[in-house]
Amino acid sequence: MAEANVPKELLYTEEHEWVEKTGDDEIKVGITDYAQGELSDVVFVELPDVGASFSRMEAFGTIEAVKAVSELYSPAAGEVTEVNDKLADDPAAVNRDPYGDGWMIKLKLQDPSELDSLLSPEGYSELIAD
Amino acid sequence: MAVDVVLAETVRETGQPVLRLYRWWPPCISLGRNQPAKGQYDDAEAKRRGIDFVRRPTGGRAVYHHHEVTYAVAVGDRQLGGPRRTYEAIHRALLAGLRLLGASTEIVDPRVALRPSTVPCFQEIDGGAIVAGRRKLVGSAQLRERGVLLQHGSILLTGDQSPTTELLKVAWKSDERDRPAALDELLDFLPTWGELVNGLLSGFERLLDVEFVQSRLDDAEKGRMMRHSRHFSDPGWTWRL
Repeated sequence: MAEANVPKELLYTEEHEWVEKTGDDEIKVGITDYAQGELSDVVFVELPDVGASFSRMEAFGTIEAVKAVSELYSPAAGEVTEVNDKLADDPAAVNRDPYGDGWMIKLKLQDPSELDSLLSPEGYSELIAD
Repeated sequence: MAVDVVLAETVRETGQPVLRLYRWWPPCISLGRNQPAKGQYDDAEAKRRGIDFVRRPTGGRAVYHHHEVTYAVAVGDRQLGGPRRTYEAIHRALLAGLRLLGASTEIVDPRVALRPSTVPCFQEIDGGAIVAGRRKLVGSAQLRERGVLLQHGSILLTGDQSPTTELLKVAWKSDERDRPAALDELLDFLPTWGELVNGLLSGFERLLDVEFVQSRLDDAEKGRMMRHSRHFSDPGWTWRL
């Protein structure tokens, strides 16, 4: 597999979600290039409704690829403010463009300091190098 | 289903991988976690034939569980190198076991993926499936949850999976070329349950360099199994999509 892309401007979870800070207390979430490569062809993404709340590392949805279902974990506690509905018809966007069209949810954070415990790009690169 | 989930929970606590081999009674069609099914099956006809339905926690498509061996493996999600490598490693172990039993089988190129749909599991060949010629013998599905991978699948002994198409309300055009394989056609004999278990265990032991210890669910696991059984027997879950 080609080396996975780990953008320097994002944060990461150990469960392979990426996090983009889009405001003081809002983030955008998806799964990493490494994760989509490991899963291979994504065929189904199940996301929550806008308004749903999740605690830190609680499952917010699932993704299915080649008959493998994986849970998706909320990087921090918060409320869903937007969902990428386009993934219902085009789940392959997660493979094609994991950091762009393949984004999954936007979260309004309960406590923005929870982001401090996420992995840096360097930390995540080390994790997937193991 | 409930026992498989309990085994995955136990692996999360102990780190000790588990293999389970089992059969179903009454016969049952298991649905993939995300496959559409609501209103698509003839419930009355299924009842008349004594066939149950359950929705799996894992992906994939419908499987008819009757005259088959179901296997379930629960293992740490990185113990065998991630979901895709785990899928391949388990299928290689099953392939070794089937070959020990004398079945001429092979693994399909893993790069072919299928969307969840009402097309039954054994009706189309997906990447990584175990086949005899161009006919599918083993179909598997996976769940990755909180550090543990649960993979289970079905090894066909005899029969043709026809209830998965006959019970569909939509018109289904059967094609003889799509018929799955079955072990009784590949061997000169149908192995006993003991022979099957020994063959499959030997495949895992040889390929994954493991040694099996027989065990049963303890009281705490049985309690969790009852709780999960309520979930899996809830029609709201079975017919959620």
